[in-house]
Amino acid sequence: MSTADNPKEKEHGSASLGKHLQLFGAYLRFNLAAAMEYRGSFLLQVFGMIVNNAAFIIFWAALFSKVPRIGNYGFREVMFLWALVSASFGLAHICFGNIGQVSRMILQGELDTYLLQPKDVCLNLIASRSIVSAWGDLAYGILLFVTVFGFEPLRLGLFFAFTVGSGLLMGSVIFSAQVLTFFVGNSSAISRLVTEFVISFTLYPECIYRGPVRWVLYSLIPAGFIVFVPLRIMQAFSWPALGLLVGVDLAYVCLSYWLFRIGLRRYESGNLIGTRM
Amino acid sequence: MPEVIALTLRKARKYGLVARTSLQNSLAYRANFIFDSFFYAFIVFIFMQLWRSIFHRGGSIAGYSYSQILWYLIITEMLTFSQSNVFEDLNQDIKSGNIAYLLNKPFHYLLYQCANGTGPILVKWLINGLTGLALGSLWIGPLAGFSPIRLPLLLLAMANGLLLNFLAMACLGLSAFWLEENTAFYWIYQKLTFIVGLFLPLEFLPAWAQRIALWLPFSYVNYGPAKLVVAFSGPAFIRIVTVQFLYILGLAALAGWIFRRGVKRINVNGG
Repeated sequence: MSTADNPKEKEHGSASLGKHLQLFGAYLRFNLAAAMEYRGSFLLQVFGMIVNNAAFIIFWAALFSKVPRIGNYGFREVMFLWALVSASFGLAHICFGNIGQVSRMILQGELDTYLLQPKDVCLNLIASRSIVSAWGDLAYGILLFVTVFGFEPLRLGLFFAFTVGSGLLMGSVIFSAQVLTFFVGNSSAISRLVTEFVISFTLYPECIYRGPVRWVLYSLIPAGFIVFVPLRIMQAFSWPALGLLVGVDLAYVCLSYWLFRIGLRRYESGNLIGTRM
Repeated sequence: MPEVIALTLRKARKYGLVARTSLQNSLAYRANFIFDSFFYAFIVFIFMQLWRSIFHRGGSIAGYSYSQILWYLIITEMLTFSQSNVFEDLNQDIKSGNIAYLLNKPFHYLLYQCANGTGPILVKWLINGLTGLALGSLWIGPLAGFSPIRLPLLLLAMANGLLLNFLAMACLGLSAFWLEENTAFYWIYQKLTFIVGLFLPLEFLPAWAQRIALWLPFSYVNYGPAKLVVAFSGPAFIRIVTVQFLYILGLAALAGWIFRRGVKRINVNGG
């Protein structure tokens, strides 16, 4: 019997959203407490990641000292891209630290443990781990935004909302690439490439891309919806554009969840005996 | 005296064998390197888009033409993608205690690592070099003023850049003797090499920063060799290669010193 046909699992899959949010909150608290157990290491990793990301400000400052503008992008616009990408990448990996490990876990038969637990397999799997250095990415993104754009509450609120949406979208794309392992075997190389594509495409001004690349940015590698559309909304707010963005974010989340559920039917146990404590 | 020479040759042959084995291993897993090479091509593609937008009116910026800046980036990215993982290798050996099994072997651990790193570096350098050459020739065209006769000199400067980076990373990796979590140092070093010459030539930095950067080793990992490729001059070659040799000697001595001190701290339990 395939794992996804398990009636018990179906029953658990229909458990209330509230209970799953409780589980998510518990994982978040637990993972943070685990990271804080080694406080020195935690702070070193967070600070190291902030310094690591900050290095690129020097690159852009040096470039814009010689070139006033690149298309309709100046230093502030590029810093917005960096702030949003860092914050959303950080948030995705704090909340769903396993999204980059799914391929390996499928191949090694590590899903068995999650299948036996009375919660949604997908959420349980991706939320059960957190990446410590991702706190540095999140902190850097917020710090950079506040430094460049100030504390204006509406703008800051919008930035936080974009961080959540773009974090979900970015996480969904990375997760979907990992889930391909169910269908094509080891997809970790594809996933690594997709992750690099998402990050690299989002960190440069939109105006440098032309022709078919622009189609890719609004479909397969949705860099456009991760940063470029949020930037346009930030520059000139419009409800329809915001609604479209939220719709696209949710569509990608649902698509990746659906892909996982379909793929899970093909999963075969690795007979791996494991414990989660 | 002949005994000393014979002993040195025997030792060189031993490490040569390690390097040859590592090269054979790397060739067996060349698919991994080809994948990296694909990503290298992607990064060059992004930079090509960026600089095409910047240079849409032609001219030159900070003394570089469109063609020069892109060939410069092809070289710096090629060198960066051809580096070895010596930091990670040393880190793992020290933290896992595996180093205890390597210390009692009939070789010097650091020289072994150096010889072992040669294989992946050479394979990556070759694959990325060919990829870079193909990309540059197809998308940018020939570099004005470039003469193939200078190729051996340019390869020497590039090899020095790779060795310099290898030794700097080895010094950082050896810090694992004292620190459980030393990745932040790697990030900081990596980003300093990014700022000082990888993404932009030093000429884009303010004058005061350029003066400081020219004294730092980071400039001789990427900037020095790439600058020689796009704007070669005899005096610049002598200056860059001399500074590279000095830093290589200094870092090799530093790595040896850190290693000797670190080994005294090893405390391995069990077996």
